[in-house]
Amino acid sequence: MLKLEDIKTFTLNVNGEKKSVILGPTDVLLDVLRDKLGLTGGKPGCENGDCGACTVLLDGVPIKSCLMLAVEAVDHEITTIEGLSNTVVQDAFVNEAGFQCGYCTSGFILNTFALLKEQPEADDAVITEWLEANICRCTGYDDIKNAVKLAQNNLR
Amino acid sequence: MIAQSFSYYKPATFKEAIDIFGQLQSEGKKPLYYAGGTEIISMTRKELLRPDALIDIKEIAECRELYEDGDYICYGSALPLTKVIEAPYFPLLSKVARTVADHTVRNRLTLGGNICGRLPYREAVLPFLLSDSLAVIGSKDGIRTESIATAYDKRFLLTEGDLLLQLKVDKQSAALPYHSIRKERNGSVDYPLLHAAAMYTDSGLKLAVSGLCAFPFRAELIEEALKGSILNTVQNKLNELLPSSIKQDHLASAEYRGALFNLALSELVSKKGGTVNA
Ligand SMILES: Cc1cc2nc3c(=O)[nH]c(=O)nc-3n(C[C@H](O)[C@H](O)[C@H](O)COP(=O)(O)OP(=O)(O)OC[C@H]3O[C@@H](n4cnc5c(N)ncnc54)[C@H](O)[C@@H]3O)c2cc1C
Ligand code: FES
Ligand code: FES
Repeated sequence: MLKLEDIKTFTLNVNGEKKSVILGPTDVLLDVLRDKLGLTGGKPGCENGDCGACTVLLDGVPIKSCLMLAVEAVDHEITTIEGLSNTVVQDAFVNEAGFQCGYCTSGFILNTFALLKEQPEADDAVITEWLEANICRCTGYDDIKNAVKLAQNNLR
Repeated sequence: MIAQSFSYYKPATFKEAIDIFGQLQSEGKKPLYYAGGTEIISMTRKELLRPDALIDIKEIAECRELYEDGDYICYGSALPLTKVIEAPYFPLLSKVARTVADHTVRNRLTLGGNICGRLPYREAVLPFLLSDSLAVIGSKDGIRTESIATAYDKRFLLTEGDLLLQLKVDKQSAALPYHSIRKERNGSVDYPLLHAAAMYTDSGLKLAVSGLCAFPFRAELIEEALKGSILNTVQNKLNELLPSSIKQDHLASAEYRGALFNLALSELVSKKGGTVNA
């Protein structure tokens, strides 16, 4: 049985690299990524599971890192926005101006990336279902939807 | 950041989980079983919950199972709702679970966590209340299986330290025609003002409701009343037929919720023998 009663050193697999990190039982994944590993792409928004600004991928599946303990991520693959570079999804968000202030953008991009990997032919209903998990206070969502559609077409 | 301390345990078997729960309790500590963690982390962060220890149940084999076998479909309590929704066995469960939270949260939020949680909605319990389902519960005395009719009254009747391992549903019940209606105030990713689900049998309509009162319930008195009276009469004496008063909060008044329920009831009754499974 894994027990964590105090702090202990663990290895986290983040963006394809093994990172040694000291974890306590109450450490939340979002805080560890930002404050201990310097990966500040995932943002604290509501810290209540509502906004999706803290989205990261766990074994390729989007999760809200404000609602997960860091110790739970041991032995899993974590992908943050820093782990994606020059992807079709990122290009599409740039080309369609799918962001303004950018606070929500890492969450939207990671969620879209996971969606198009799992369901390249996702229809509008599926896209809406997935992206309802992320809130944007700036764009009004149309440009984001256009970016997702562009990425989907470009990946075909 | 969580500004309080607790320890974390991840047992590999349900027996280990029960044992460590008992041991921590005997040391005067307050342990909690930890599944998707979405409720525990948000409430602990706000200091609405102060556990001394979390016992993560996601490695326990029984809690992760999902299969159909003989007469039953078995759902492990620590399955994330996305897995429950994708399983093709129980269409009403897929439909109802799909309305809980949002897609990303459902990748972590578990069936057992939703049903055993502290919030008043616990929507995923509705399909189980409507079907002949069984709760498989782990306790210090071993595993026991109970009908949901005895295991649930306003909430799951678990003794402290008991762990909900699985829910089993009779395949024939899972295949019954159904209809459900969910009403929210602020769009689909919101807690429900009302979620009413019905299954249709030869002997009538079975009804379960979340959002209307302070807990989800099987509306047996309404089911009975619908057999003997016309719909209007049932709607007019709604307050006598509910298990408690209608909820009133910042989202809606009791009158509004009651009106939504009466509209939903008309729709659910009208679907009997007509177009269902929607
Ligand atoms: C963003 C967000 C949106 C939400 N929207 C909805 C919604 O629309 N509808 C709705 O119904 N709910 C909703 N919820 C509430 C959510 O379903 C509950 O908070 C649920 O408890 C979370 O499940 P979990 O697996 O994360 O539970 P945890 O946080 O792990 O546990 C919750 C409680 O259940 C207990 N528990 C968990 N598993 C078991 C088990 N197998 N046996 C015994 N006890 C157990 C734990 O000890 C704890 O007390 C939402 C929550 C969030 C964070
Ligand atoms: S910060 Fe995690 S969902 Fe808002
Ligand atoms: S671009 Fe500002 S919140 Fe989305």
